[in-house]
Amino acid sequence: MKISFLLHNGYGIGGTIRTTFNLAQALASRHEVEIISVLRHREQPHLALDPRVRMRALVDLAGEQDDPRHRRPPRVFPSGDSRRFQYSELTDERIAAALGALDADVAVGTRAGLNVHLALQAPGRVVKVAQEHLTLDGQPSRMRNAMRRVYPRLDAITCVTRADAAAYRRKLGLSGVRVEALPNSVPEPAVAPAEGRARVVIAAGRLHRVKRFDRLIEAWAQLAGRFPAWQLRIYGHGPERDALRRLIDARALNDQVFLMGPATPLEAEWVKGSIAVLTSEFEPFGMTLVEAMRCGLPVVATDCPHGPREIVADGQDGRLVPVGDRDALAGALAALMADGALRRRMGERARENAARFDPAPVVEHAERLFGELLAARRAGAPRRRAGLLRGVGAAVLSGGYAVRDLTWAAGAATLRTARRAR
Amino acid sequence: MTATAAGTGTEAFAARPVAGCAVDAAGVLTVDMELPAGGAAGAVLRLRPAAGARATVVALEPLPGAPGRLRFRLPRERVLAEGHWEVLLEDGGRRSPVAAGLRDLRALVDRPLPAGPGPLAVRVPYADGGGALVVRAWLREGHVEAGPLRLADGALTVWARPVGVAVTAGARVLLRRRGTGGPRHEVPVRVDASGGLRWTVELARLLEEEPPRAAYWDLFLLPSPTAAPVRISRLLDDVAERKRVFVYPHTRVAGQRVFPYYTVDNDLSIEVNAPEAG
Repeated sequence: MKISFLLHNGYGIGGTIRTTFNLAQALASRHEVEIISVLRHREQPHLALDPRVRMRALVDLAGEQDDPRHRRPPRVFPSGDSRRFQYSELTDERIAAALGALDADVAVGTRAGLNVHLALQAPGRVVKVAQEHLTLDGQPSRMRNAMRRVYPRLDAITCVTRADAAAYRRKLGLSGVRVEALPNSVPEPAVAPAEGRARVVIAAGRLHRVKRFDRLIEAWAQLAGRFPAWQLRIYGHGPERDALRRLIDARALNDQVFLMGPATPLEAEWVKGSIAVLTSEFEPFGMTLVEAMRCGLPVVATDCPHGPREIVADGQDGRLVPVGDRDALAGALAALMADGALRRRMGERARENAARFDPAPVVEHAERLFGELLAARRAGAPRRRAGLLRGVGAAVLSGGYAVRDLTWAAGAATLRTARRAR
Repeated sequence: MTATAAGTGTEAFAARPVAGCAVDAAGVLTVDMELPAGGAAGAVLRLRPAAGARATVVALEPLPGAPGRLRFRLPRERVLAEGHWEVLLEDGGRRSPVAAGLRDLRALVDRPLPAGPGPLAVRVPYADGGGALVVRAWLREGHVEAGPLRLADGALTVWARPVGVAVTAGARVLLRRRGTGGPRHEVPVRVDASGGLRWTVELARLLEEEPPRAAYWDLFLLPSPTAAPVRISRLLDDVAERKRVFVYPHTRVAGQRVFPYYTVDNDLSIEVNAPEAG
């Protein structure tokens, strides 16, 4: 199969980028895979990408940031997607052209706004799969309304948890669109697993309010006196940095709690610790949990919607604690900090249990899904226009644009209707 | 996909070979990478020279590796001068940097203080701003490992441990204002039963000049009345540059901001009357 991923910005760091790279790389051993990165802000990707996966960018911010078309708001990219401020008439135009000219068998969108583009603008013969890395419940109602209108044109939606897949089935009423849970994948780390001895607890993620690192620091303040030789390292950057810094100052934890800044690859950092912790109040999946577990760390995580409880087996490979319960969080950490044998036992179990997130089983699932969707599309379906286009060689390109123009018009009309409906 | 696809897409992939590395508990550095397409005869470390100085080069020892891979080692006995050493691949007369890959530095974290004779040699590989693999090296005749620090009631208290330094009962800490001919202060040092050091600096003493001026004070241990000063630093972990990681709040003394910090060399200093952060 020829598979194209459509990604917001493959040159940054973050859960969606990491998991898209992981899946693309795993698929690349048997398929032709490319990543279309809508934006690009640096020469080389932050994260290493297997050279068998080609990545191309549609808008190069270094040269095109000031393009007048990039200053005008987008017409196709929906207003319900939180990244909309980074999209424009220029991205609309480039995405439409790239999708119109797509000669892939399967196109995979990786966020709601791009999935709208995909549904409206990918040629009819292309299997369209929308990956949702956020949860349906976390989407604003105008995004959910756009999904109801446009997503019936998709072949499938994949969610990263079973809970979210159930929400899509129950709440969007998209008959004829397959909805499946396809977890994020994390490859076997390239380093030996953690040994469970270093007195270091590690958290990682964007320094954003939803991650509630403030609660982690407050919980640490309860532990600092009892465990003076332990340190907490928080990796990542983001808007909460200064606030967290002030909190560390206020609790006088400057020699125990460290804001480490971003680090790639993270696996070299995980193995420096012996416990991983996640304190989000909302976590669609929880990539860092899986990464840490694959490195042999037991985890302490908040039982927030939806990811952690589908990843952590409470009491076996880690602990789940109620969101907002500082004492429970501190208690779970203390139990592991005080007991090296427990850390090593749970860490070993974490490593075994997290193997189900290896790219091999996840990519098999994705392949099976894509293959079935492709077979269904080829078997039936009123896709005659697309079928003709496949056969006419040089005409493909102009045909592709013609299809694109039609879908663009249809899409614009749909969105206008959607807006009027609000 | 075909080249007709829309966009300004380019297909640049890192051409530089990516080198992983590790430092073990004994301080032995190993570097491991895929054999680059053009081949390579060897690898060296090159000291980033101070302006006008001549570059120093130290060869890495080749190690047998898996087919298609290159491995090198820097033995512990090989002394690196203090500074930043770039890892360069060598092919004929050409030297080219390598990109920093996975750095397994777990052996440097939460480890006992080094014992044994000889100067303290520390090596911490890191990725520089451009992603190149560089080894930060320190070489100290004697060393005092700082931490933790506490600011309270206009005073800074420092806990520290000496490494390879014989500390006598008369040991003192010297504070020296940066710049030639600046003032100096000394404070007494308490040595606990396990050899740990502790001292307290009344920060008002650093503000004695009129009018008060911005200043940077460097801290040294005077292990005995006759011994040479030993710089107080924090070197014994995996953090190559701790200036923005080990950050301390400021306190106000006589209306001026005063705070301890680690320099770009991971040495402990105190800043007085700092202008607003920038």
